[in-house]
Amino acid sequence: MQNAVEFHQVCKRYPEFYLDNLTLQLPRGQVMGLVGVNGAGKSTALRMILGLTQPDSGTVNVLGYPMPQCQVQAKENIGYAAEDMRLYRNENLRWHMQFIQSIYPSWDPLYAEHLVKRFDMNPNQLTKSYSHGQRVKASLILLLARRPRLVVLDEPTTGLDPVSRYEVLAELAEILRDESRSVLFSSHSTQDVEQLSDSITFLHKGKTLASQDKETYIDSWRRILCTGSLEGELGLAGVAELKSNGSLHEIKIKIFDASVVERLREKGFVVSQVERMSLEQIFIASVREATKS
Amino acid sequence: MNQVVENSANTNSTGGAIDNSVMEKRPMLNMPVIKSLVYKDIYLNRKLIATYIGGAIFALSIISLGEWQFFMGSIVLISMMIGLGNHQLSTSMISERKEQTLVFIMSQPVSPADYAMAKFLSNIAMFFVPWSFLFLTTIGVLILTPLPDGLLPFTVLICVLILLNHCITWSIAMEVESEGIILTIMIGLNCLFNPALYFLADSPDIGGHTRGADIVWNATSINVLILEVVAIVLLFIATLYFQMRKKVFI
Repeated sequence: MQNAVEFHQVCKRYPEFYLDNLTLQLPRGQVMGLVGVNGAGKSTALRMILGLTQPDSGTVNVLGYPMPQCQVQAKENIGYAAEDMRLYRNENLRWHMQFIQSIYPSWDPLYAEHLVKRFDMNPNQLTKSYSHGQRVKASLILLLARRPRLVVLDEPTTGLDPVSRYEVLAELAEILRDESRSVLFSSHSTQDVEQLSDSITFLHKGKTLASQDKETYIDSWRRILCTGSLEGELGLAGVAELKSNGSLHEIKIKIFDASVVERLREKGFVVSQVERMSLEQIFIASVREATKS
Repeated sequence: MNQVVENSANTNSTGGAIDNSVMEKRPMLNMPVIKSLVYKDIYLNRKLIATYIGGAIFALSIISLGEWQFFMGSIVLISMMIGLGNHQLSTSMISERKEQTLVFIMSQPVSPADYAMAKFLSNIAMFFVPWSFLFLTTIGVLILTPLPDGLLPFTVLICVLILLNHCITWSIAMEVESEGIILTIMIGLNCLFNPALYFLADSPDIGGHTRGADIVWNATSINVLILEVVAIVLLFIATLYFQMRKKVFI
């Protein structure tokens, strides 16, 4: 399967931040969630996809084009919306739609009108009077109606009220039916990522904590509650977090298989609970582990 | 400008080879998108341009009616020309960064070279065209009204000086992102404009003929004009040269 986005050992240094050897692949037709706290490097990575920023080293390929050298060709097929992106405040959505239509022959006017209705937008309202949710929806209309092969969204649901968030996520889920379209979106919200994405990449302070298929990744983590006497090392591989309260221990492990429970029992522990973790719990455990190390 | 060239960037940032099959032959500049960006800038600034042109025409309509009308008309005309330049730079370049609409533009299929060319052409359309119209109208008013024709060389030098000041501000606005720096340059050039007026008016070769009936182009006035025009051309060439070599926006 060809990749829509490929980062290979990409580094970028800013005075206060270093993106450290980012390597990731987004196969065509797949959805990847880029998760990280503020300053993790998500926006830097997304800007590199658009060719707005040049890596200090490493390569970025988007839809088969090396970036930033072929940014024009690539951007013809990329739809981008960011939380900090604004439209012209003294013009309305209709004007913006005409402007985008003048640039992209692929603009689908019927789909644009469908999206306007679906998002309950007034296309004749000046964008300066839009709420944050309306701004996000307007940006989505402008990018989706030209049917790009790659959709890149920087924090699309941040700051949205529950109804707007539902509508945006529902429309994103809808566009994912098109199997040739790839989506890469960054978010603080692990819930959104868990709901939509096929694969995840965790970034923290410019380092990649994980980048792989979501189901496999979530399935490899477990939270184990056990009791027993802990003397010295636990002796298990892949322990991300260990909390003890007397003889009660909570273990968050990232390389789980059936043998882990067996080994704990062999060491005299009584395992009372083994449960799957949500993406949010996994993300927090990963960040805390990275911070400790 | 629209010639077809092979993209010269055939190595990546680490020096590795890039698959040449994706390096399609394409025009060096994306002219259809540049055209859309220029139309966009003109459309967004249309009311502002019309307002300043209206103000300048009002100034020209009173300039030959009497002495105080001449001084008032001259000041209004100069203010309208300077205001047109600074105001449209503020809305088309400074605001685009400040109000974060630049991200929206950068996400469209444009390279930094396309963006620089679009801003250059917008500047031509939004300042040079109105400036040329007002300049020619001013010359016409001088020749066709009882105002002394000897004012013409002085007027030409002042109008071209306004153009030069605008070009300096435009070049700096293309290069720096700081609104503070650009505003400082605008204020600084405005402050220097009055001394320039004084020196031109005080020069016997230029200011000495303003009340005469004959148009006198001498070596001094021609040299000043050449200097102004050369500076404008060099500013444009240098700005476009450096802007169009940029590979990335940020």
